[in-house]
Amino acid sequence: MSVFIDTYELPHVQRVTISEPTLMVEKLVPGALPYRAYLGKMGRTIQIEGWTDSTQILDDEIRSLTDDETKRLSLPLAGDVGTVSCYVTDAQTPLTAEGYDVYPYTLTIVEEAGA
Amino acid sequence: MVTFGAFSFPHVLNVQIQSQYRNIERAVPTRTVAYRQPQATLGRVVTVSGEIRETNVLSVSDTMQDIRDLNDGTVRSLDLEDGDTTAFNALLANPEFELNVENWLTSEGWIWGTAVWGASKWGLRGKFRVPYTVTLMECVAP
Repeated sequence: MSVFIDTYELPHVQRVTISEPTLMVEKLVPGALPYRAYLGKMGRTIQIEGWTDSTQILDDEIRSLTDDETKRLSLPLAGDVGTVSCYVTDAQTPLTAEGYDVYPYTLTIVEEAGA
Repeated sequence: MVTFGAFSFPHVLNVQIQSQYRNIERAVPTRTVAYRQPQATLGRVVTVSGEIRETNVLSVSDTMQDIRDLNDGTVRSLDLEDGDTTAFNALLANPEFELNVENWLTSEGWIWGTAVWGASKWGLRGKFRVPYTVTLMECVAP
């Protein structure tokens, strides 16, 4: 599964979770169904889990993705669902004794609306 | 088959129906049970989980986009088609998709035969399964 951030291909992607939370206001009404009004969407939040065999890649590539630059995420999908203008907000790179030579990472990416 | 408006959710695997009633609750010092007064129903909240199963990336993407497009604040009729539950009006919220490497099997010839990066990736063939989850909230028609 090929996943790119700009031109960098993320190594060994195992899972991509795409969620799109809805903004809704809810008012309870005694004796009736609640009043629910749709306000909009938060845009996509994408979590990417994968691994690499080098701590150098974690240092130089994965962790350095978290900055204030707008990036282009390319998922292995077509059309609008396939590309997302985004920010990388979180990179988790735990090092465990059990996973010798396998260094997992988790990236949290949020969609960016543009100016 | 679960239908929402004119759309049928593909390969539904699980439907969870939650019905909640909200109570006013006040802890009362020295009493052993709090004061509780029923206030209002939250209506039914239905969580539908299933899988998009396709043989090319373009169809997967189209179906994902179709589900995303339903998250537009339009009240539609939800029919669980279980033989008992009558259709009711609902809003779709919080769609979620998961691309797993074990459910993403590209035909060998297409990996090595063409560049994945570029226009040819839209036609990628193989076996693709994308688990999805959507939440549907019962509400009154506008």
